[in-house]
Amino acid sequence: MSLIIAKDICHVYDSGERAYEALKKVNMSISEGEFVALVGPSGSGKSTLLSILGVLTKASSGIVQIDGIDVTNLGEEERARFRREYVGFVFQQFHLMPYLTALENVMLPLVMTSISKKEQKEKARLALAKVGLEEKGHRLPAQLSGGEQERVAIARAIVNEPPLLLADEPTGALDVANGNRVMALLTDLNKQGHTIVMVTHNPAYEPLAHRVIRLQDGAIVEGSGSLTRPGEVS
Amino acid sequence: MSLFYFFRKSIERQWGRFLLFLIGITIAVAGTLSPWMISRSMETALADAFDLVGANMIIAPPPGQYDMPLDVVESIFSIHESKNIAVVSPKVLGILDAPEGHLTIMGIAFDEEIRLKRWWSVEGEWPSSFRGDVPPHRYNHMSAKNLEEERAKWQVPEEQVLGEQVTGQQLQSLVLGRSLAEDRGWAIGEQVEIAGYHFRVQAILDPLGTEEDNMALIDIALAAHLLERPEQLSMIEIAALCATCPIEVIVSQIEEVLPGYQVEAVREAAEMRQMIIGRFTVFSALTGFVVAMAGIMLVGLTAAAQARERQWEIALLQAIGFGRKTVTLLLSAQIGLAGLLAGLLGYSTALGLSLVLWPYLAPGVMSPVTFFYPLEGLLTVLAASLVGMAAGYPIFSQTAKKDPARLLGSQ
Repeated sequence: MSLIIAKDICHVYDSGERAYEALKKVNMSISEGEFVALVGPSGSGKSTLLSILGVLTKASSGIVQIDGIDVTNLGEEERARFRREYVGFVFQQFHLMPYLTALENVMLPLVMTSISKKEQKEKARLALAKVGLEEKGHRLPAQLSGGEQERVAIARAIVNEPPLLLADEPTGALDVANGNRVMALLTDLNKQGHTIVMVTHNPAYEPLAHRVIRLQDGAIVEGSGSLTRPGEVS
Repeated sequence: MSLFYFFRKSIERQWGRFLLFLIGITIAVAGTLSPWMISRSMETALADAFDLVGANMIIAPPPGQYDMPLDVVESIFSIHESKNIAVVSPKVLGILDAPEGHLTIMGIAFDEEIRLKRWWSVEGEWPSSFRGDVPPHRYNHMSAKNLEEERAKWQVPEEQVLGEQVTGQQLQSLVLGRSLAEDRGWAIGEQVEIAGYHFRVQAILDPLGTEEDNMALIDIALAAHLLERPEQLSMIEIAALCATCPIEVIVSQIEEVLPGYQVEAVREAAEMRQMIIGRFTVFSALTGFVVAMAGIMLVGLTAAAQARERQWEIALLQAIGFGRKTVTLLLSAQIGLAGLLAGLLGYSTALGLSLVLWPYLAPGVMSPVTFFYPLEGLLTVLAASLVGMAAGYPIFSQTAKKDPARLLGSQ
């Protein structure tokens, strides 16, 4: 069953003086539980596509359906609620609030929900445990290593238990060992049922995905329909 | 974790930055308020100084008449603006026989007269009150009800005015003009007989350069009795008290209740007072406006800097499911809170600054000057908070409208 269906997605960045077409009629579908890697050279439209699939950026034209819901024409507040319930983001630069502890950073997406503070804490502890950082919840981001910060960011992305996890170069700022650890974690989360779409520049991680979609100049050039088997992290 | 907790944490953990922001707005608020406080206090001090000059209005009987009845005082207090009347000082003028020649007598209410002529200084002791048993300022807020009571006090007991029966305690008070005292050779404490009644020289006025230098001042009721003009007044001097007193309005209202009487504002003094105070008011308003504009700009610039610095935070909060409005309000509220605190701090700083600067800006002004205006203080705190929020909201809102993906990617 398709979790994501994207039809004729176009996106233009218009700075006023000149317009840049980042995506050109992209069509794709991603099944529930799939692990998809978006690859391609810089400026090929990977991050833009990821952001549109995550309902963070509104496509200039085209239709995006997630879990049967047409998110194309949702209002601003509805899009925020949708992101809260359906999408978890992991960024290359971690983007942790420097003034909150690891546990509080993980709790942040729960602030806007109706669940009690006690339950928020419980869920955040559970998410931290999933990424192996249950003992470091009281630390500030500055007191954690780069790998640990990225794992906190992953915990924050999954604390709401969203069906869709989007990762934009999650290993881009990490060394090989930490990168491999993060990838193992993502693979594990995928096995637990999260659908994952990941942007990566690192060809070593492509085999870990079920499917690799290659973009060039804003269009899919490879992998729109094929399914590859996930490999193991060495 | 609640939204408030997140709000508090983001301030606590960025205390240094918040403090800098706070100091910026505090300086803006203090810079706006202290010139305003000082010029407003100068305005008050100036008005007080003008009030020291004496009467603002003089009432005389209708042309061709020499006296007017005591009831006139009651009429003065019946006008709408009576709340702005500070002193009403009635007088009886006449000439009496004395052993060494005629004396120009001015019957006055001692308490009222000295309140009106605050620059007078005397050798000796100024008589304290009307026969020692009437409360001071008895002409203020006198109603029709107690006028009868007042009138009764004008009946001077027979035993007190019979010269051969008076004792030391019953001697009447006499204040002399300096020239008169020197001409007659009368000194403080001396007993003087005037028109068959015994007086004690209680005070001698320092030279004034006016007609009072040659006058003898006695109690108004006794003067009316001795001059055989009971309950009659020769003139009334009136002073309005405050900086905002509408003297011209008071004059026209008195003219309405006393048709035919000669009611004159001491125009020169009144006009000069209004003109100078008016200039200060304009100066005060202009200063406040210019510095307030600078303050608002400072708050706006600080909010803009905050928005630039925190744009990835704005984007991240949106990415994890915060609505655009929530994010904008959350960050604007932080600026608003800073404005609230800065309003309080700024007001206190301005108060302190004004007190420190006052002696240098207005040396020698002895009148008590108050810088604390509670209502304005409250308005300042609210305004600082609102200006902070109003300056921050559009900037944060604009940042929140940018593509969060690009803002997060730019880090």
